[in-house]
Amino acid sequence: MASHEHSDDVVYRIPDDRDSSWSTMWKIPAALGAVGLLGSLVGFMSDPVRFGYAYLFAFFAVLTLVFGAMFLVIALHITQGHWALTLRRVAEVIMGGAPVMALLFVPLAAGVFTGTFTMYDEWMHVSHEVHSGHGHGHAEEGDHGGDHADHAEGETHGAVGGLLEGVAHADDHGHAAEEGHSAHTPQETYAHHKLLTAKVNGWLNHKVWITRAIVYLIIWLLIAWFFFTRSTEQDESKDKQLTLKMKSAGPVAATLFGTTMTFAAFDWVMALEPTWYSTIFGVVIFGGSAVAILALLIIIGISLKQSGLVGNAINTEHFHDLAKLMFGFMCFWAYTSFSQWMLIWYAGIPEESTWFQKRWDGNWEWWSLMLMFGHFVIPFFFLISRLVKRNIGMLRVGAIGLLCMHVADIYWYVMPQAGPLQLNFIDIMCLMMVGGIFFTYVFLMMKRFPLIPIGDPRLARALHHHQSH
Amino acid sequence: MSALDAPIEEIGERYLLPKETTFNDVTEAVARITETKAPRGWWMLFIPSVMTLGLMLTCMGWLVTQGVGTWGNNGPVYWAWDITNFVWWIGIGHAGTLISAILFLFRQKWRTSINRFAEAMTVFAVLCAAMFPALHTGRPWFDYYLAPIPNQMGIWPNFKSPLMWDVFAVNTYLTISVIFWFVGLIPDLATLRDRSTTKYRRMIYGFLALGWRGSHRHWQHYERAYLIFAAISTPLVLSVHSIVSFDFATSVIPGWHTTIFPPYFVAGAVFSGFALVMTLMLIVRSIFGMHNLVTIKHLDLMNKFMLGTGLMVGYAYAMEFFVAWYSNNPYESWVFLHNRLGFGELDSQGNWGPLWWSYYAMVGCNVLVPQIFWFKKCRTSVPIMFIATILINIGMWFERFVIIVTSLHRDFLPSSWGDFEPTGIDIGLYIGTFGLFMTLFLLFIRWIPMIAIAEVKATLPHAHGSHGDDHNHEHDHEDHAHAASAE
Repeated sequence: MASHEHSDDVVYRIPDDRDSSWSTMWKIPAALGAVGLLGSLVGFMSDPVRFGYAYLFAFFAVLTLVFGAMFLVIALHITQGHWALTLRRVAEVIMGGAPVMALLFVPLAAGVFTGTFTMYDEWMHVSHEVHSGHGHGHAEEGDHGGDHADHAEGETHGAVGGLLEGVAHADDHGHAAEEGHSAHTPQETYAHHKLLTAKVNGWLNHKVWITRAIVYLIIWLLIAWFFFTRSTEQDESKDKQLTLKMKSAGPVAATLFGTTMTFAAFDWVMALEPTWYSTIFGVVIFGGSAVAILALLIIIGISLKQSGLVGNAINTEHFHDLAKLMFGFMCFWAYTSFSQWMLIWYAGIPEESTWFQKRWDGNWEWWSLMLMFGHFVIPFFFLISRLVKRNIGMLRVGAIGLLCMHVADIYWYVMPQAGPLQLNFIDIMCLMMVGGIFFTYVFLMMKRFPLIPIGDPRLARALHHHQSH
Repeated sequence: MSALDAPIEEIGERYLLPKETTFNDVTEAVARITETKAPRGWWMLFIPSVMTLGLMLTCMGWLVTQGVGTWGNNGPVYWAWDITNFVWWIGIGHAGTLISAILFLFRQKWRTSINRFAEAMTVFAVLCAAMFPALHTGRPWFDYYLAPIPNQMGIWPNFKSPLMWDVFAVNTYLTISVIFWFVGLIPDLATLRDRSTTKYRRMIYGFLALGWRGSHRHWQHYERAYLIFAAISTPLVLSVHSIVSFDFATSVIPGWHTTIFPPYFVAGAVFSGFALVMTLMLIVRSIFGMHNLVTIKHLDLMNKFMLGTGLMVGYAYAMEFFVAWYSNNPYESWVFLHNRLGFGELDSQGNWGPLWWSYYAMVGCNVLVPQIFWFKKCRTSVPIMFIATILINIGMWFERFVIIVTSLHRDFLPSSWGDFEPTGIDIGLYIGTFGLFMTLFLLFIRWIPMIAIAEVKATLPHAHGSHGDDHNHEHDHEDHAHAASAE
């Protein structure tokens, strides 16, 4: 048999008493989170409109990690794959951060409902009134819009005063600040209005929006709770029946997860541009989430390994496999992103191409090019090498790079809706706050449970996992 | 490997093949088919297949001499059964490479009982598929115009057209699939050579086996080549059907232009390919008594795969439908509500879309039927799965029919609306392609080992038995070598 260096002396737990780097790891996100919280408060005071976008970006970027973790855990149960078993616990703990995300959704919903966050204003508060042609105005929101015309896209400003007025208002202020955009013709304005009025009554209005959000969150909490509790229960009981239970729940969970993830992406990100639509949108967000979680698992896995807490339970063979899967999903992300762009570009239908136009004007072309090269071309040639995938130092560079690119990708989905590219300290502060809170919780939870699923019946196989190629 | 790989019965793991299966059993079961007289069941399939092939050649001759006017295609339905059949066949051709390449990279060992079979199907299905675009040009003797050949007229194909990309994608896929299939065959062809009792058999199989002697060096090169082909084939599985979907999705036709088309087409292709692999596998399994090599466990796993891909296809339908409504695009909603679902008032001519029923056929067969595979009883019942796989293939044909014909026959201008009726040549040619496919397929199972002998042996428990404790070496995939040398 293979060597037994991972035997009894490794307990696969983060020690409480000893001075291990992982015992105090949670303090890093906690500190970042505290700074982020303070910075966010300042940002919120100074520029609540920008804060709304920044918070949404940060929330969604971290949420995609939960998406990815949920997908990976479910997929491992369905396929009964043992190769990544020793890293399943880390994914489970990240998935177990779902309650934090549910709590962090509350400020988002509150901001949107009180009218402080204006990113959905074009449809959020104007449901039935628009239909009858009498928009009820929130004067104070109009003011917010006016104050920040330099970085808020036109339509987001004054939609509160009835759609037609809102669009007219936008023509006065918003578009003046945006380069390369001609003003809307009256016909376009009318068409835009017509498109929206029917939509806000059926799908895009605050009541239905919040109801759906609650449904998504409940489903994610249930999925996370089900798999997390059973897996940790198995640590103690070694009950093999639990493996079967998780396996048979897998397909149902996958179906629910796929549906809710798609519609959450529609509701929270695609709806930022309410007249735009793309059927592949959910798939693209899914692909990016999978890349992100695999990159994160590699980064955390390497750190755990170097701290000596997991012995040889996580080794080069596992990293190699994770890296191959990450490479595959990176290509999948590129494939879906390319399909979305290419089909819209090729057909050239105005109502679709405006969305990409926003991601090319106002200096966003640099960001788009950065994603193209940073999220695909460069890592493709870097990670394709077997040498890189089996070298912990180089792999870590690749994984950190891809994780950063994933965050940049979500930034690219959200922020162009707020206007030209302009890196704002509020964006960074929000990311530090949301990420900090989330990872403080995750790292504290990691201290409470074994770092690998020690009760899984297939653990021995995972410990002896070898590459066949 | 070794003891660690022994199935843990409590969590539902089983040996893939009956535990007492020996290496010799595998060789015998597979090689014998090519060495003995064909059973009556084979002839009962082969004779009608050749007759159907004759039907295809007749229709083809008529089509080529008379022109594409003999098809039912007419404005605005300029693409109809021809492209429907093309997309359907090429979709079926996806299962083989998926099973050989992607499942190989994911180390799914159960694929070994079906991969050879599916690869052969891939090649034949792509041949059937390629025929339709070649014929629909009207003057197939000018088809070489599709290739970018320098010529004195300075005429080049339109490189900006997805139809052009299709030519490259399909040809690349066919080439790589054939090579991949052949490389995988080499060790098994050598087995047939070594078992040959006649001179001609030995000469022919010996020629095809390329001097394979089963040395460690041979196996090492073979494994490396197999891995490289798997890696090359994997993006091809995605690219071919993605590019086929671009034929439609790059346009502005409602019902054609939607961004989910590429992954949706790939999922649909895998779905239909698996269904046809299953249909044929069930027939062959019963004719040649292969129950010990293709077990209920394999069938169960394949049914799960079909449920999964069926759900993906259902997701794509749902997205198309939802976005048609959500977008508020009047053309999109019109297509889905009136043309496809058949809702709303009928127009003076009769109705909005006389082909609405085909949408129900598609959803019924592709989304509802695979739902039975949630239940283990259905996943392990041969008659049920046989019927389900046939229904799925019918549904997948209707999917392409819905996309192509129903989107076209009610276009933007009501004055140009038209109907579509297939002609006898349409029907004859489509049915005829089954003749071509089945003839090639039946010849394949008679003359070529239809199950990958060496690969199946590597999954047997005693392929690892004596070497169980010795797996510290870097490449433990010399299992194949052990399996073969034990013979």
